[in-house]
Amino acid sequence: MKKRDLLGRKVCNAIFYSMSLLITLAICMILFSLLYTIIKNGSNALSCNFLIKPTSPFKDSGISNAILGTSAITFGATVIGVPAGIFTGIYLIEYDSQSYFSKVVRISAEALMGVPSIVVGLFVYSLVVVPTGHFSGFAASVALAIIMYPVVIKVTSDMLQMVPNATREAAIALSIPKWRMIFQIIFRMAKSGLLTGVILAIARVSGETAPLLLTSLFSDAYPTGYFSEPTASLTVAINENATNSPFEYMLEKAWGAALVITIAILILNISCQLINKFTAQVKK
Amino acid sequence: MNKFLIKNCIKSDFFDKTFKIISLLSATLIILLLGSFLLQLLVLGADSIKTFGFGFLISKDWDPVKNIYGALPAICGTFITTILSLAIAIPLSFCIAIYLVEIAPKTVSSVLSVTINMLAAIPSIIYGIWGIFVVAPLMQQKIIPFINQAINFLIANVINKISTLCGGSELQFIDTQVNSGCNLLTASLILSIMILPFICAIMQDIFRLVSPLVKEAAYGSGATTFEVSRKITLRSGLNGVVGACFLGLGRAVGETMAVLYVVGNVQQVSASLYEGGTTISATLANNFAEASGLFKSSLFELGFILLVMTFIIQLISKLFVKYVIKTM
Amino acid sequence: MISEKLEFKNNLVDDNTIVEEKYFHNDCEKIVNNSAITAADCFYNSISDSVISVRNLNFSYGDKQTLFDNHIDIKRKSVTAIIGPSGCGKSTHLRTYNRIFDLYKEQKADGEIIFEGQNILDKKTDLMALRQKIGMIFQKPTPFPMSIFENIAFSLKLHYKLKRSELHDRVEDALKRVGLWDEVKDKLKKSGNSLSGGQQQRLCIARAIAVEPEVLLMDEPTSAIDPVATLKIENLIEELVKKYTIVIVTHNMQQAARIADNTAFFYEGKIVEYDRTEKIFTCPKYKLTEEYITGRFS
Repeated sequence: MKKRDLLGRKVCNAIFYSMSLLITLAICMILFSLLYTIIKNGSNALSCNFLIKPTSPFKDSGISNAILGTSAITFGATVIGVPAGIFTGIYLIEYDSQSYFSKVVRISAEALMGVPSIVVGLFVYSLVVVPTGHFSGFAASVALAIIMYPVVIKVTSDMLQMVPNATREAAIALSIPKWRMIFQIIFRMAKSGLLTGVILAIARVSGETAPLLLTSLFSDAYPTGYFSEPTASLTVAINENATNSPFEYMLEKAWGAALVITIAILILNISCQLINKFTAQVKK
Repeated sequence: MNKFLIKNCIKSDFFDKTFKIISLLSATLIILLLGSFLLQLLVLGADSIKTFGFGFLISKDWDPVKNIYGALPAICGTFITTILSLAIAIPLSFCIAIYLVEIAPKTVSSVLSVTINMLAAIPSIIYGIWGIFVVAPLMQQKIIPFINQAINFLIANVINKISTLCGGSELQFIDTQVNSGCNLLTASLILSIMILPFICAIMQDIFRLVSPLVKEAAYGSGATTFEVSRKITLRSGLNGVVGACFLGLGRAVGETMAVLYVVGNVQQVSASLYEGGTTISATLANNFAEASGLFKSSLFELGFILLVMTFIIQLISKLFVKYVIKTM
Repeated sequence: MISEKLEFKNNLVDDNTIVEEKYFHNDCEKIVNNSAITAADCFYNSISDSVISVRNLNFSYGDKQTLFDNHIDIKRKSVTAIIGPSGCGKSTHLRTYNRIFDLYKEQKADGEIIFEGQNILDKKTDLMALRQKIGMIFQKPTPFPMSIFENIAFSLKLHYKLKRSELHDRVEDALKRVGLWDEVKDKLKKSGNSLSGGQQQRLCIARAIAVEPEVLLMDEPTSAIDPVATLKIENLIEELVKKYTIVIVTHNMQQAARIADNTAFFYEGKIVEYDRTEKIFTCPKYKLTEEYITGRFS
């Protein structure tokens, strides 16, 4: 047998090492420059006034209405989307995990998860905005809820799947009613996973822009007409300020809003990591 | 006492039934939702389907004044940006994931993976404004001229010499003038930077799940890190890696905000990546507000096409995992 | 040379003084004490033909030291068993021979492991070449995520330049030597994971011997396998020892008694006793060894 040259393999390996290091460094540089740009440009705009004044085309405007609007829209989406998703997840795992019907449900959930957000926006436009006759924050909530729905289903069914069957058997042996077993025993075991999954879903939809362009549009007013009027949101505020205005200070506002939404989403993400770490420690 | 027990039983029985019914209803809802998605978009796009027929898919015309619409520019742009961005993002994120899992020291890898997870969570609109205000000018002034120079250098020094040796004709040089930084290339770049952390995060999770025993065994038979990564880590995680790529593909196809600003929004089919173009989602976001009648209907049809595209992608990914990888 | 050995033996005795005080057979203490050095020395001298010689091997996981001054000579073309209670460092010891512990940054070894006249623990050692010569089989079967054929071809292709037909012959040969060929010849294209546990382990052995190593390290190779398959692997080991040197870590004393020529007893990171297997199992020198052998602790 002819021996292979070790040197060739070593050179390959060294090239691979240095290449992957270089690529990682380069991409990290790019990504850090993105963060740096957001922070640098955003911090210029950030001030107390910026946070408490509503949006307007004038220089001393803020984004308070957009913050409230985003909160309202996201909250509405959570109220609609999370229970529906959790119940569907429960149905898939606890009631009917094998049948043809549940297979169809699973497949539809997966299919819905891949639907682009702008198509969801189109759908909700035709479903809510056209019949009611006006753009509204509620329509945006529906759109975001539809985006959340399959995500929450997946999180719930994954987490419930991880609860061992022995726990269910033990609970049923005590003749605990099923709904109590699910809520008081199984949910308790899957709590942290569910919580982080739901928070991540909320974080994801709160940064959506495209469906809001077709459902809630934008307004400079506070979101008092959540059900009947166009409602402001941070992401659409960025869009408005960055593209539709000729003024430098509007651009600055856009970066400020970008910084605010980034920070909010990062806080949600970090809290998830903390929850995970905390529960891991408790389990130890 | 007895009475109380029976009452309690009936109550819990009632609760149990309602609970089951609520679960069943919400499970049915998702099927209804999916069905009505297809139906609604199809119905609202019916006008445009009737007017333009199958030609909508292959027509280049886009003229709101004459009320003539064709989807080819948008479909082409979607294909180009998606494929190009995946071609950039997949190998890069693979390299990074392998580096972080196999090579990097523990502290570096944990810091970087947290950062990458965070970046995957940043809203796409932020990638969009970063693209238009930072990347697009950079592309126009520095990167595209640089690429052109590099290609011209290559043409002058290598390709033309070979072709003259073989008696062929000389290739033309690329024009170094670029009109704007907003073009298909920039859009693809932004898109790839956006989906990279996303794909990379999934790949990392998959590579971390590969059994350390199998890796040890491979190192134990004298393999280098490169050989272990390529043959063992990638191979055992192939299923998940392909899944991650298709998820990235799904994201790239439907992404709106990251592309909208930098793609140029020109309804044209062009062979050059330096030309502006458009994608389906950008067309929708750009025109929806002022559209009405047939225009709106054709936008709905575009949305329907996009929806069908994502379904086809998911189907292919399922089939791919099921038939191609299983037999490997 | 002899003086060096003597010195090393003295070290061994020093290390074990605490153990000795506690566990020495009191009734034959004097006899043993007088004959211990010479008897052990005789044994070490009898291993003139050693493949691996370990001297002063210390090993630590981060701050925690797990091996203390190990000395051992592995005799060529013999089966050396390493026994001891769980957590005593026997696997750790074995894992230094091909430096697989290098994968983990917090694990460190120092001392000398002489193989082919070179210290394995030297930084200059070519790990790829080393691991070709010292193959390893793990506790759980570790088929690579590829077909049965490719599993063996993988390690072959790493180290040798082979034509297709040659490659096929070598794979067939390796599979025949572990007695797996008849069982898998119709399904070479199937995944290695589709085999049963015992077959997977034999596949791993075939993969290791395909590259013609000199030493085979086996880290509890039968602990995850049913008794029938274990018997097959033990028979295989007896067959393989004609060609290779085998070092086997085992939790199962009967197994050591059945297959090993020499046996080393580890306790808390130290080699308490190393001798011919019959001797360890019939009249061990130390009380601790006897207690372990007779199953008074594990």
